[in-house]
Amino acid sequence: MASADIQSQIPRLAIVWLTLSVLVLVYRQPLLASNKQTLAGFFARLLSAWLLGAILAIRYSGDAASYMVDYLALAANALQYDFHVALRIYPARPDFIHCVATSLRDAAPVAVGTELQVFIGTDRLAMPVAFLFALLCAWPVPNVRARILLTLLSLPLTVFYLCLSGPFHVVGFLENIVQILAKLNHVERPEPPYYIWQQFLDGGGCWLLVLALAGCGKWIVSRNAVQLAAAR
Amino acid sequence: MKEFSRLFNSPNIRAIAVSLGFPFGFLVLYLAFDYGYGMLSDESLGFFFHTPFTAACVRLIKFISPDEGVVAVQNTLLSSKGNLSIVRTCDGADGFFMICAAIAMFPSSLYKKTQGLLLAFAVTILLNVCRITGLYFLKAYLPDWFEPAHVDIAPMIMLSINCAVFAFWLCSVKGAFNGKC
Repeated sequence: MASADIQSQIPRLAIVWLTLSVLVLVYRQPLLASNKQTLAGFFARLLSAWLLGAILAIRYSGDAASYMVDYLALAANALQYDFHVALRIYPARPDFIHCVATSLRDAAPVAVGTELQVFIGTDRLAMPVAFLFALLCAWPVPNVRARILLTLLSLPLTVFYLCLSGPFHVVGFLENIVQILAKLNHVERPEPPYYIWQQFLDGGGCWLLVLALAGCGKWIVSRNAVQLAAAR
Repeated sequence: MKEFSRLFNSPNIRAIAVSLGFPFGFLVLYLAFDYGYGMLSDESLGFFFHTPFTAACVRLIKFISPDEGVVAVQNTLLSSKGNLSIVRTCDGADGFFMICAAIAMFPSSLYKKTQGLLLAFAVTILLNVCRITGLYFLKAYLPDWFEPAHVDIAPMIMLSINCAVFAFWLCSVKGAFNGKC
């Protein structure tokens, strides 16, 4: 990495540093207290669940996306008012969502009625979901009940993750084209918040979001375990 | 979450300083390694590392499937079924630098650090030879799976195994200090 690259990467590096710091702060003691059996179990579960999840995600992400495109289009249209977005699974490549956006108003550099087309790979959504599933399957917990609960939690957390990322990927990719057009035409165009969020997710933030959601899942399970013990 | 609540109720300044300092040192060291690696010319990297590495991959492929007819030409695996070139980002250097930086930053004896670095090097080379061999077979026989395996599946496996190596090394270092593990 050249020094100029490092300078442009400083905000990103700062986020990585803070994330690592939080992880070290929270997991230093549990990691130092764990033994080789716990570690072997964690990594064996993580790798096997990741392999299983990733293969299933690659194989079936197109099928799963075909059920979601209507909801994604609805959310994408609610997030912004510049375009009307229509989505479908691209027949030639079922692992891609074909987005056709029609401009609803004159917003430089795009004139009203302009049609833009974007292709979004479903793996952008599917891979973090597979990792979330793997993390929740692998996380060290005290008993089988907690393990089952944590694994089942991957379903609502997956839905939550998809709500926080799917529509933003659609409108973010669209906005990315408009931003490129604006730069080419020397037009000033502000970056809307949904675009900044999508850029964050696309630049690796999706993995941080997955880590945060997995942490929430673990917290829900540990809280539930405490309440169950108290009820007994 | 207990750690979070403890952090706000009774903040341990030393723990916070360690939690900020270790990742900072790790990042600085990782960037230094990465910068040094970026300074190496393609020719010297190819001659000293990629060419022998490609030859090792070819040996493993021939061991698994002797009739494959694959040959190593500099940094490229060539056969009638598919070609695979090993370039800068394909040699597992990123993962190795990461684990090196983590081991170097963690407080332990020089002997333990050297042991950890040698283990990390061996694991990185072994994993990467297996990865390239697997990718070659995917490209030759299941080309649809090559891209997802190369871009999505394999990097996470490499990263997880690197984390596992560090965690096990940590366990042995900790064992040397307090008899646990």
